[in-house]
Amino acid sequence: MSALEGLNPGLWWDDTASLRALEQRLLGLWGGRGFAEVVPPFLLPETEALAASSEALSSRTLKVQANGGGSLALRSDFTAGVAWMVSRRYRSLDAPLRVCYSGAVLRRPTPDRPEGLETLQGGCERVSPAAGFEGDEEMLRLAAESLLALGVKDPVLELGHWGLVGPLMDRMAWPAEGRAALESALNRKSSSALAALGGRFGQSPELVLLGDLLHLGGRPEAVDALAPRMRTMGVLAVWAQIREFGGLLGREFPGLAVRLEPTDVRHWSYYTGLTVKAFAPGRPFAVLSGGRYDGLYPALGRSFGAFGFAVHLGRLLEKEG
Amino acid sequence: MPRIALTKGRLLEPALGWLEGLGFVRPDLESRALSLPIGRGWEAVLLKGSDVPVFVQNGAADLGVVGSDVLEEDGPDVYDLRPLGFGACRLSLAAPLTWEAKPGAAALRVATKFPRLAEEHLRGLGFMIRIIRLSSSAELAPQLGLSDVIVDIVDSGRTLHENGLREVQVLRPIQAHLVANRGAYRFLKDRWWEG
Repeated sequence: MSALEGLNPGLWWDDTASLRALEQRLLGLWGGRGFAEVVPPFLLPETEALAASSEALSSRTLKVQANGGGSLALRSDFTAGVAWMVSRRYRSLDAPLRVCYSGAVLRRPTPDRPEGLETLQGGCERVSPAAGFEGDEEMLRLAAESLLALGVKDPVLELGHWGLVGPLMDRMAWPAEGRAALESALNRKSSSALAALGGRFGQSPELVLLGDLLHLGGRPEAVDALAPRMRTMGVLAVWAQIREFGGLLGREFPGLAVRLEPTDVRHWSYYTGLTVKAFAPGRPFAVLSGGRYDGLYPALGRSFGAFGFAVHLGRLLEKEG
Repeated sequence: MPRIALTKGRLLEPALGWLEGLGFVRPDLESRALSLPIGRGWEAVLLKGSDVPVFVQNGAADLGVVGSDVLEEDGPDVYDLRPLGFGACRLSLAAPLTWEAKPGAAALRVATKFPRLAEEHLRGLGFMIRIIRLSSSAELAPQLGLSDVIVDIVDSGRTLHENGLREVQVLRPIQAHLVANRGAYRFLKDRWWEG
């Protein structure tokens, strides 16, 4: 796909006004919750940007050669820029650091991700002194509040968790090629691809459980029926945690449909815990996405944990289907 | 109104039969309308196979019926809900009757509509290859000297035979699949396709 096909046509005044209104609502909400706005750099040294990005995102990052040498990465994600800023300024943290941002990111379009080259996002990052679950609840609440602040009609908020599916895949110990194909099959909810992979790389109780979880999203009682097997495979506690969070959000935000989608986690090598996504009627892609990524800061030499999410403002500005 | 994209051609009749079996009505195929009502509050659009996942991925259709060859070649960002049990055929390597496989020899010229799948398979067998991308009539390519072999859809094998070709190897079986848009999947309340 040519980069020219993905050029952003720009925003005229009506859309610009809509964008600013959305940004104001979000930044107002986030500021009120103690998240300070920052402007992460648009260019980072390539090696550092890629160290702070998921594998999938790295392959879509655009690069430029700086005069005098050195390769620079254009911003494909705000998280990498925030992590670069935080890891240069802080060796340790006494308390969580809360930041928010809004602006454009550039990503190479691919046939399976046809969004334009340049798209708009706003988001929040909560960086904790240490890795762990601390802050998950706060960030989920904020994601729910963000959706309501945007005025998205009849949204669905979905929770997933790397800790439910990742350990099952780890136990299967497939080679890298099989693991990548398995992650792709799960992301596509493809039972037939799972069956074919089982024939090629080996059947196992874990693979059967993954297949059973594939189409049960949004029906916790159906997943509960799988509890004995989840207990045997050591992932029941994580399922209980997702259920608890789902129940909590359902009670606190009655206008929001909360679903549990245990297998629908993208960027498996990036997220390390809870994940969150939101969808809206008439919108073909998620309007909000994020999760816990405790592996990022250790890769940059810091022992911090982090949870972040982005609101896909560009998608919200597009005409509804 | 929710919309299902159907592949024109050999998958259309079995897809309509499948939908009729689920309580939908057969649309008027003579109509020049772009969207055809099929009952139960749904409408259908008829598209070229490779366009079905594009419509579904981008939300112009909620569901789609498309061959697994298209899904595996293009890798669209859609949910692959289930194989449908019709439209069975295969993706095969075919060559002139006198052709002999010689991995490692001069680059093999491969005419195909499926460059990714052909390349993946033939490189795995040790061939050096040069892909010649076509959008139709691949079986003519060896006859006219455009390629050494082809990778194409084979059903009965009659077209190959009529063009002096033989099926050398099956790359993968193919059948129709039901796909869904990621966003729409969340909001389709009546999951009739699960029944």
